[in-house]
Amino acid sequence: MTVTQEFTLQDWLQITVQACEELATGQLGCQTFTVGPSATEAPVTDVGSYVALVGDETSAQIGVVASIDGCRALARKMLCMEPSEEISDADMCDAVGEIANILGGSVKRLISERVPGFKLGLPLFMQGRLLASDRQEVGTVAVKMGEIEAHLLVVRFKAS
Amino acid sequence: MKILVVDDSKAMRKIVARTLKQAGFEQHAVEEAENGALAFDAIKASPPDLVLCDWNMPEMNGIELLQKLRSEGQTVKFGFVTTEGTPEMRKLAMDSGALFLIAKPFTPETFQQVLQPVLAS
Repeated sequence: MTVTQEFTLQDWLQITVQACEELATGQLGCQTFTVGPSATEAPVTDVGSYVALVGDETSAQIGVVASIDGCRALARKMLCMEPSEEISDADMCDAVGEIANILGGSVKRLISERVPGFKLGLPLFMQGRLLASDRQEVGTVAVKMGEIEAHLLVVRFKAS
Repeated sequence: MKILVVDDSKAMRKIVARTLKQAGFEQHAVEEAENGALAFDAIKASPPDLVLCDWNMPEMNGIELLQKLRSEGQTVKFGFVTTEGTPEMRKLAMDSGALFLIAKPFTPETFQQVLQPVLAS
């Protein structure tokens, strides 16, 4: 059995949730972190940031998406701003991108205990629904970081 | 003392600067660069006492910056603050001349613990 076959979408999602909890309760200073339902399609209207993890046998995109207000709230948390403070779109993209970047790095570290050699890309902020091809499978998990609702998203490239 | 923070994310440069203050290093001057190439020029022009550098950046990444500095005999104290926390990355960083690697996410306590001996020496 290859590494790719052993490392399922559920494995990716589980590790991503673990990494997000570490980020939310640490860097973001959230008092609570709760995990909601999972799904196999990307949310329809959300926006957010994605980062690639590329390995020899398998690759994935890790994303954190929310409503635009949710993204602004996450960015304010990241930058220790007051909830009422104005935040520019550029700063929101940068801060949420950094959240995705930290998530990707933590996932890479946790995965490397089983599958070493992944390379981490640079984050990309996008608005619009992600559609998967036949070669990809999508998994999402609803999470709540403090009062901020978001989805964690993994796009896994299927084994050839 | 002067600390140069190198990261392509403006948000993360702010966070690192803020964490330095929270960790008790508010007396040090903090300067910023947004990639390895700009950092190299800044270090050549006026060497800081410490470089806190991200790993993944456009233009010139962190490990390329460190290796270029060391190949030119520049001995500035250098540490990574990065998402890259795997054992392989840590080994590469140390083998290339880094003093430490702080993995994101980090806390002021981590900064205090890691940077205190570096800045005191």
